Amino acid sequence: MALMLVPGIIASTFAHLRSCGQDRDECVVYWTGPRDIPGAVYGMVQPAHQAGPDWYEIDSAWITGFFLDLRHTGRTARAQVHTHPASAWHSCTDDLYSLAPSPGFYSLVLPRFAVGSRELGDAYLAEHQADGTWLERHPDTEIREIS
Amino acid sequence: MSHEHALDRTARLISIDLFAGNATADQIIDGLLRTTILVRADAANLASPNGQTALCALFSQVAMMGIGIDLDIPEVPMLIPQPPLRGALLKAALLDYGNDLIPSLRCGTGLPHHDLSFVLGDTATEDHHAVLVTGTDWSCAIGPASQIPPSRWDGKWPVGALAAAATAAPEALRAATRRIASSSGHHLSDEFHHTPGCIARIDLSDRAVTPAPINLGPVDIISGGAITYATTYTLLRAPELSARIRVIDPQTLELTNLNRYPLLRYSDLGQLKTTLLEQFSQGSLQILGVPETFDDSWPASLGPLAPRVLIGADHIPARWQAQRAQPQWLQVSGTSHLFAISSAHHPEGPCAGCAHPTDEPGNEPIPTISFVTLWAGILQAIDLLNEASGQLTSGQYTICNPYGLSGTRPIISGTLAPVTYCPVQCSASQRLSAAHAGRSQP
Repeated sequence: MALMLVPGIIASTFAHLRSCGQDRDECVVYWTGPRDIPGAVYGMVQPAHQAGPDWYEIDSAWITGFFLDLRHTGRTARAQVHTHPASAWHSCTDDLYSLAPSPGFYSLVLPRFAVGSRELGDAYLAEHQADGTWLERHPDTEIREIS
Repeated sequence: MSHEHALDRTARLISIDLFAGNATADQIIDGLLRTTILVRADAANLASPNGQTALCALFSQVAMMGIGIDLDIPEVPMLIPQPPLRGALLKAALLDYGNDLIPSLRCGTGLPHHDLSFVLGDTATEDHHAVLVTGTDWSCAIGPASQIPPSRWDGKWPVGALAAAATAAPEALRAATRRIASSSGHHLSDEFHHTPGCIARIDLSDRAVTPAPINLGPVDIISGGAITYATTYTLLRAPELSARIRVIDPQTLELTNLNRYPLLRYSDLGQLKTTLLEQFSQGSLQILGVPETFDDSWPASLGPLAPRVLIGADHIPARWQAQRAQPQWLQVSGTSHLFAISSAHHPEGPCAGCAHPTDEPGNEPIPTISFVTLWAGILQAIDLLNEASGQLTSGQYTICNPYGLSGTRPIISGTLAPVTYCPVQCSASQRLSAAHAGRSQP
């Protein structure tokens, strides 16, 4: 199921990742949407985290609160979006420690701390499979702004 | 077979979104045409303009999907014009319309083997699985007869009745897709809820306009496409509405339009889209067709644009071009698979380019379905009515997913933000770019 984004999500994602990462640290945000509308992405959340040039770590208490909030509001996390210092790819750490390792969850990696083009041509997208593996997907076909 | 062309866009959407691309167009269309929906209403629920509008719109929405309709209603006089229906008697006019729409569509009275029943208002029913279709001027409630309080249709502001039809129609699709899955052996995507009869309550009363005469003045509509037809369908049912509408579109009506143009009949094919719309002028709501393309030469061919401009084109660069013309107020509505989106803009921005900054690649026919288009038209008409009534609409967007209206966030609204890469380079995007440049100075 392709992700369908409300206007402005991609722009605000780039803005948050740039602003927080300051062109020197990795950064991450999550895309959320209503549980009962498959693929819909209506919001973006930036977690409490620490980061360096090639790593980030989410505050575990924040994650607990986040999942409780998702449950109370009928939402789900549809994707994690994080930056890499150079090229975009899915590292072993990315494979093993995603926010929601469940089928259909997406992981989008943006290169160069997201300081480049706002288009997703250089990005790497993977979708979590039922067998626990990640399958590479094409961002242009799997991520669309509702228009 | 002409019904295959008429239902081509609908089959594409159902295959891609509900069957993960596995079901073929033949399997889907066969399933749609074999599905039968009962629509029942008594005389009391057809004694108001809204009751009749709810019935006519529901009939139209279901029929445009190719789903058969067994119409169980008494014959009553038509209280207000219900274009594209013809004649003075409602039942006869509906059956006449149904037989002039999708080739091979079954509609009539006494059709056997119903996949689902719709019951309007407080019409009596012993079918506890029936889906009740109720509403007011600006709201609707749809759901199992056992769980939705019966409420007689009344009133004459049509937004609630049209919303009811566009909310109930997906339930007919759910019934059809179960039949398609059963006969084709393909599994429905397990991400969606597929059992008909979900409860959906839509309240648009916060967007209500004062029920008094409203004069929209001159309005230009760029594109005479499906959304324009849905918007016009909505406006034509609003009481005491005045407008001078100019529709700009050079195209003729085609068979593949029949699945979502609510004012279109099979016998209209081949006509200019603008010519047909002109024929729906009524009273002080006048429609003028301009069978031309809206391109760079528009100042010479069209003269000054109206203060309020609507555009319903799925072609995104056409929206940028309309925004570059700098209308005082521009409303954009579009559909994207199972989503309908609308947004309103003034020249200072955030503009239509900020809202839709990237074009969508590909030349494949766009998947569409009747009820998503009607929602896009309803949202566009509401924005226009609100704007004409002095309510703020610019800088806002609204998104509706009609297949998920029973969910926690059936319709959402938000505030648009300018983007530096706005293709129109509106003043809001330029101010943002300047601010970014200032921040990056050493």
